[in-house]
Amino acid sequence: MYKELDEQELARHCSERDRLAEEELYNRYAARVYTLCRRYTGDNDEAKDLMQDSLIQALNKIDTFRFAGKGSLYRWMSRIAINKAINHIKRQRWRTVSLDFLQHDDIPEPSDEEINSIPQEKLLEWISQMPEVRRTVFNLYCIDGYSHKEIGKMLGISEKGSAGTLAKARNQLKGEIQRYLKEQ
Amino acid sequence: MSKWEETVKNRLEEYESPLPEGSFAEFFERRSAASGNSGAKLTTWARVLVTAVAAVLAVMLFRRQPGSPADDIQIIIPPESPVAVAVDSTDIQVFEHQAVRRTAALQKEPAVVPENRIEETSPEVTGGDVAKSREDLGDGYPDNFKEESAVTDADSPSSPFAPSVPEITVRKPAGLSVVPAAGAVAGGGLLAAVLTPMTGSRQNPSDIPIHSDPIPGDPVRPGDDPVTPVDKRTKEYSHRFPLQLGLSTRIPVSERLSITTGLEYSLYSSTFTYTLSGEKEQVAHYVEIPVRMDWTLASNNNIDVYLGGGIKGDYCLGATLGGEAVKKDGFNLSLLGAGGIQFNVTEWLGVYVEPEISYTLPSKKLILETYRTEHPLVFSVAGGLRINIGTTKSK
Repeated sequence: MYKELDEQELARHCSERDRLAEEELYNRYAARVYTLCRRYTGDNDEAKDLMQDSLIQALNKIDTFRFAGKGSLYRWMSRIAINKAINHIKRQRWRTVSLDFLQHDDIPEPSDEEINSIPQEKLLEWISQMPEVRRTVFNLYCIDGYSHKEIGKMLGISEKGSAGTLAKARNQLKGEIQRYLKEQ
Repeated sequence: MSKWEETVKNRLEEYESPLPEGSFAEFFERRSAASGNSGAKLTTWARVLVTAVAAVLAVMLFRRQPGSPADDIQIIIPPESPVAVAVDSTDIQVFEHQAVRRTAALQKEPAVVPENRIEETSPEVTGGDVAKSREDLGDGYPDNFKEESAVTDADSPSSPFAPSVPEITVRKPAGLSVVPAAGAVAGGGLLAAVLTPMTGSRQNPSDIPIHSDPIPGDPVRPGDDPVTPVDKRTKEYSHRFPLQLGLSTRIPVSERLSITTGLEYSLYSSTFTYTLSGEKEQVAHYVEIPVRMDWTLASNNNIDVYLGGGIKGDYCLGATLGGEAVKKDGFNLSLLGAGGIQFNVTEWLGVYVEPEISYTLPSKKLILETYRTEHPLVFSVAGGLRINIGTTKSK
């Protein structure tokens, strides 16, 4: 029965503390939220904790969810998870100085076919291996659609700093992709 | 965004990585635990609990009575009849007049010498005792009286006319304890104690003059009568390091800036030595509210390292000297500086250790002599539990 519920109905049942509805919500979205958390934290254990925290908070605040079309429940939960991830990163971050200031921007861009030939887990692994701020900026800008202005505000850095960090992240990922393609 | 980035985005958005084993059961275990104990509820309860414990602490302190009357210093009033032996009748008349005045003055002070605690002493006092007592009395007796008394000492050890010397019975006042307050705080589950070593500071007797000014709570006030023995404070005293208990909370303002405040109780005790009544313990109770801005130097998920500065306002709830209430200090301010490390046990509760330095600002409202009047600049190490209100911590 619960598998057939649409997002709005599922949210309504969850707001009534319906345990089965909560289980359904977990089954539908936990893996996607977990993947998102892996992208941001770069650590599977931390990602698991963050995913659980995010879903618990989502269930606690499900009364505040307003349905806005298909996919809005996931988008709402992903915002909770991203906010938690950012807070987590900000709390965890110790002041560090990046030493890789000598960057080269001459790595060729991969084609769509080349990207599609790479396993998703591999892409996730390369993003996870990026330095924390670089990884966060890449995720926020390239995957979750935030602007440099928003990123600067969220991370306490300037817009220019966000753009510079994104350029480094792009180069790092391109380098990993090209290295992988050469090995194949 | 370039084409290859768009492709990466699409591939990752649709990807669902396999969940770790047992995460479903773990999630619902945590969910069950959290459902009746949400962060918002905890924060509300924490606030209510802090307020309640603070109120209880304040009421206990306000209602606190001085030490048991049975433990107070007892002073025996000298008999009305003056010394029988006198050479000059004028002297006798003067002395009688003064003694009557003094007796009347003492009877006007029932709070200082309760009638039901006056102990009758034997009228038979030996000459040696008299001499010793007169030495103790010092300048309180006129010179001619001393001379005449010396004659009496020699020939009438058990004379019916022998002067009856005031006998001073000193009982050590009951030491005030903060056990009830500490119990209440700990019992409330909100212990945030600042425990400091109980070392005393003993004044070098040669450094300070004898207190000859009236001291609040003194049983006998100097200057009333030249004949009456004066209970002067001597050079000896000691101030003990204050004992502090408190509640501490931290309210984050931004990622790195937070306001740390709370409610503290301080017990300052000192011992003063008097010429007649011996040692008396002065105990003063204060409530203090520190307000500090802390800057987080470094932090991770569990630990905050911070530096801060601010002020602390304090108000004396009451003070006793030898069990008798005395005039207390007014409102006063201190400057604070602290650095510390806090380990966050949960989202809203942390354990902290922080070295702190405080400077008591000079004020005319500081009447009592305590450890801090002698050492306005105090270094201490505080430790305890701290409630994080409205934390920005994600976990």
